Amino acid sequence: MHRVIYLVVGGLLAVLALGPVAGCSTPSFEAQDTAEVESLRLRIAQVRNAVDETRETIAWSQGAEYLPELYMRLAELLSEEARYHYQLARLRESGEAQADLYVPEVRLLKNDAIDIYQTTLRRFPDSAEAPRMLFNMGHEHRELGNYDEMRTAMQRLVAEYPDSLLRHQALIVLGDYEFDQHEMSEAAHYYEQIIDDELNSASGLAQYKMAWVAINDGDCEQALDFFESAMGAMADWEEYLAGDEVNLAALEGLPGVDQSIDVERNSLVDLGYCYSQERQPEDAIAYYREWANNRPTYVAGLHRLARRYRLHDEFEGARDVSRELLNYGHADFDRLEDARTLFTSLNELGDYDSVASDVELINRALTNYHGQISIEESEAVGLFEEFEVYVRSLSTEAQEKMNQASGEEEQRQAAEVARAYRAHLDTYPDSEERVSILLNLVEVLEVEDRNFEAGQRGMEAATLIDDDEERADALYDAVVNFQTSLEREADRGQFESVTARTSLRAAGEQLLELGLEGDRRKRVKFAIAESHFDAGEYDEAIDKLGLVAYQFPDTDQSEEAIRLVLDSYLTITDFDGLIAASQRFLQSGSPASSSLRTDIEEILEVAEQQRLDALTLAAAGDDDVDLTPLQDFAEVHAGTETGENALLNAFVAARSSGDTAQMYEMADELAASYPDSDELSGIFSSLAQTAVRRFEYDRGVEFLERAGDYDPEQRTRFLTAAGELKQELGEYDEARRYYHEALNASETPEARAQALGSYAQLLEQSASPQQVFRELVRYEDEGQPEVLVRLGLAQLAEGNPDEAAGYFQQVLGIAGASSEAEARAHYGLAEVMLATLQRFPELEDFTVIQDYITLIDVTQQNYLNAARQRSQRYTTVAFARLAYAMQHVVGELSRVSLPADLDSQQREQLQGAIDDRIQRIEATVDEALEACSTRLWSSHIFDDVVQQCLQGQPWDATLATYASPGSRRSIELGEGAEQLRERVARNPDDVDALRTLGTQLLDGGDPHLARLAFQQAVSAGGGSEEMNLVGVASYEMGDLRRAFEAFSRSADAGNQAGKRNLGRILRENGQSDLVEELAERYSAEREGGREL
Amino acid sequence: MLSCIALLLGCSSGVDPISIHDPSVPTADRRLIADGQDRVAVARAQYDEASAELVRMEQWHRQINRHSTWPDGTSALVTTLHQLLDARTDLLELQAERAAIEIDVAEAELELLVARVAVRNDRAVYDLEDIRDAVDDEKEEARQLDREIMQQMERLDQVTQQWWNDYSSFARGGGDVTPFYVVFDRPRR
Repeated sequence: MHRVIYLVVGGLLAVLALGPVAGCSTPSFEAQDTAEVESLRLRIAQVRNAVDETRETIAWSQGAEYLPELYMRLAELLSEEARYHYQLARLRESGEAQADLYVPEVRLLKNDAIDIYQTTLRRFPDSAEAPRMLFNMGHEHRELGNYDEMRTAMQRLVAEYPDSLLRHQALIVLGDYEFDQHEMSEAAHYYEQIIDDELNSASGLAQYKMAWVAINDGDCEQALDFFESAMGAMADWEEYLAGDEVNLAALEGLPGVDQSIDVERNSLVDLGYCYSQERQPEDAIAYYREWANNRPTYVAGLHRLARRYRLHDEFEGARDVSRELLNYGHADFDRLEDARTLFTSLNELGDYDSVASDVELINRALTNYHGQISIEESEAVGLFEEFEVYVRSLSTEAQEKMNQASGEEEQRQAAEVARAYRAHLDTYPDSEERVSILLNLVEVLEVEDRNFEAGQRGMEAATLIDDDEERADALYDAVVNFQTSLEREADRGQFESVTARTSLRAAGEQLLELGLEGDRRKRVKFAIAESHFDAGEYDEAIDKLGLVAYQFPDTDQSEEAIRLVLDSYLTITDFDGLIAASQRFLQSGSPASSSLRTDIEEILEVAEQQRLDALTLAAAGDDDVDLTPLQDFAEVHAGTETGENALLNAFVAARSSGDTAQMYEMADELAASYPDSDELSGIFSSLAQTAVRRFEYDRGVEFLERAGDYDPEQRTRFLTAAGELKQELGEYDEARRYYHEALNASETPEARAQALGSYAQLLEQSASPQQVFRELVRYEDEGQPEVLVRLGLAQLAEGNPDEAAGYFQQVLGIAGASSEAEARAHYGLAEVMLATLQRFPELEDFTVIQDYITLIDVTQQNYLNAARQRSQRYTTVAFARLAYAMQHVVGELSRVSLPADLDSQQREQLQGAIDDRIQRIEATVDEALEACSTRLWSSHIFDDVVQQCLQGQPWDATLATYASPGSRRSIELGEGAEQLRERVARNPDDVDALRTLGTQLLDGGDPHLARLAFQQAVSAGGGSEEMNLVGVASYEMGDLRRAFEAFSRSADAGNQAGKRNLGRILRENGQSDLVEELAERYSAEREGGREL
Repeated sequence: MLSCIALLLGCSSGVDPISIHDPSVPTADRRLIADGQDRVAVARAQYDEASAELVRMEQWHRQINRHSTWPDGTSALVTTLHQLLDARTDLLELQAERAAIEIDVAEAELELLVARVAVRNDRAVYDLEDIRDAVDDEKEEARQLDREIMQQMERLDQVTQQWWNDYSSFARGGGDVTPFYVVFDRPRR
């Protein structure tokens, strides 16, 4: 019967479906079904076909062992068809509630299926499909509302088939039924049977069900345990499924009751109610993270929990959970709710510790949601307005709290609040409160010492402010912040520096246009000016800082401005500017304070010195020195130490470059302008050295005198040097005068030592013994060896040997006496011995004779000691006088009368001894004369003494004699000499220049100075020619001794002219017989040279 | 640039240039010539800098001349300001001129240097006296200008003092000096 109904219905439906195609010729409007409906129709047709096929198969499969399966398949198909009909009905009646749907096909089909199951079970009770058939039958009954029948079927399955995998499903169904009937214990009874079995596919679900049982029983703690067990069981079951021992074939096709339930997800979500009752909110996140098996589950669970917390005003939990949701949840409408929850919670708790990240979360929820294209514009606007309030509220509250904090905590909070404000500005660019937010941010950045950004934000705020006064405040704060930022040089990067300066100026200029008063005006102007300094724009800085200093005198800014002005000049090394500015600031009426003026004076002094150093450096180093800048500088600073230093530096520069004319000029200028300068003595002393190097001896003496005038303490030394120069020139009278003055200029023996020595030498050469004694005796007590020995010689010459002996003894007792002094002292003592010999009593007594002979030996020894001192002059004299003394002794010994009381033998012996001694003494005479003579060639000495010795005559005078040099005539040389002088001044070893200059002097009639030039040429490495010229000049001077020496050395070096000149001197002085020796002694191969 | 200087040398005076890479010239002499060429280059650079400063000053002065919004009662101060700028401009002109002369000095010294090297190495015969005189002439001109610059600096100092005196008085008298502050912004380099 059912089949017929189906066919009729089917046919009816087919007709309905085919409608116009069935033959109606009139086209008419027909309702088109949706694709879903068409799909269901198709399925229905398909399943009906399957049903027919199955029935047919059943028909000819009677007796087959697979017949039960066929019946089960048939019943499932009928159930499937019923399902399609139901779905179709739902689609058709979309406005109807599910409960009101009336679909008779469903009941018919399902009852059919149930009948089939029952019949099959009865016919094949042992079939392997029996459990499934029971399960399906029970399922069908349940869907038909036949709960008793359902229970019967399921219980039968549970009881009769304990090993069936469907047993657990059946228990679930039974348990759910009881649960729906609020029979919790009954339901638990069924669920527990699943739980008590080994792990199975329904274990988790059963635990989950038990949790709900516990909830209904009001036991949340137990419910939580069951939820956790459900999640655990599911995890275990999945692990089992992934393992190697699982029997997938057995599980295949196992119907999943309540397959729409994601046990893990639902457990985590549903436990929210109990968690909120039993557990602490602060543990929620960790708990959910632990139990969630994936992110969607996690989010779902938290979402439920958040609602619970919201509902119960559990703000701490709501805060934490909503944060988590905002971090991990999908961007949808729920996030907006979470954002609201977070805001409310934070406000209620007054928790602004993480305000920055919280604000960012809130903003992100909004912007992510806003990004969906399905949002209406009006909704978006409304949301933005709503959330802007949230964010602004949180940020400002956080700032309020920050204002109560201090130290590190304040800094930390400031960083948070600043970030929050930035987030607000970025997210709500069109907010009406933007200015307030910017100004708040400025305050917070100032707390953080992020002044650069504070300045930038302040500038931004100013652009949005209409009110002039408020805008001025914002600009002023910006200026202050930029200025503070620039002060922190070490923390700045290049970009920040440039931007800060530019922005500061821009803000400052705007402020100036708006008009400023009082302290602000001063501060802004200074800040702008300082920014130029900071940027290295020193010209601008100087001007603007000056404007500040003069406008606001006696203020901190003025003082700092003045310092920076001076600093600017110093940095660009504009010393002229620095000096001028310093002088201006030191004048009365300048804005510099009295304490600052003290510093400026020091700066000025240093600047002047540095300017001077710069000029000096510029002047030095060039061959052609230009002293004009230094002179001009000196003129500007005339009368000051700086001016004096300028002239000194000019002098030094001239000396370095060897410009003598400028040296003289600078020295004169210095002496005229600064007569009390401590440097004048040194300068003129230096000039004297230069003059001497240039062979301007007269000028040198003059400079030494002036040096002595400026330094009384050194006057003796300078005048002594002047005397020595004169002495070298043979101007003995002048030399004597200078020595006198030198000795009178100082009281101390130490200062006079040099003068005395030189004076004593001069007197020996140029004065009589009486004069010598008279001049030197006043200095006797100073104990100078040079003085004492000459006093002795003078006494000796006067016939006072006893007095002379005292002097000589003194000299020999002085450690450090010169060899010349010692030579003279030994010689003097020898002469004293000679005098004693000459006054000896008659040699009539043996004892007397013995004493006489002893004295002879002592005398001889003294002469030899004198000779050994290597004195050029007194070695010769000592030999010559030794000869004289021994000659005298020979005479005396020859006249000895032997004592009368001697017998003949004694007489003979004594006479023999005397004769023997006479012989030896005569030999000594000869040797002494020979030693004296040979000094002609060995030491190039040709004086009166040597000439006597050459004649075989001993020296019969007590003292050596000295030839006086001819008087000197000072001359002026031509222009060419100036160049020569310059050359030798720059290079004292320029032999060519020295020779040429000397020749000019010689030709000009000043052999004295010429000789000095030639001598220096020889010292500088000149050869025989220059030595010959020394001889020529000496000859011209009348210094025969020196001339002979020079010619002799020149000839020795091979100079022909020297040899010829030597011959001439010998001939002129009666020694022609020695001329022939010259050819043997000197080869003299070099031609050329000047001849006398 | 150095080769241009060498060519310039050749054209102007009759002293043939010597290359610093010429191996027949001793190294020490070549170094001297190179130093001389460097001095010319430095002088040119300093002249460029001085000229640029002068141009900048003139621009600034023109800028101030165009400024018309001086407050009442500032005419005297404005006059002093212009005097100050005139004095500064005059000084910069002299300094630029001095820098130009310094080029001439450096070139003349280079010529002398090259001539000496040539003579010393028997490459040419020159009348060094004349060339030295030319150097001296240039130096004398430079010295003369140095004196003028010093005089101008003194004048500038006087004018500057006057300016500060007038400015200070004006400010103390309650005058609005802000416009003067503003106009001291110079044209950018």
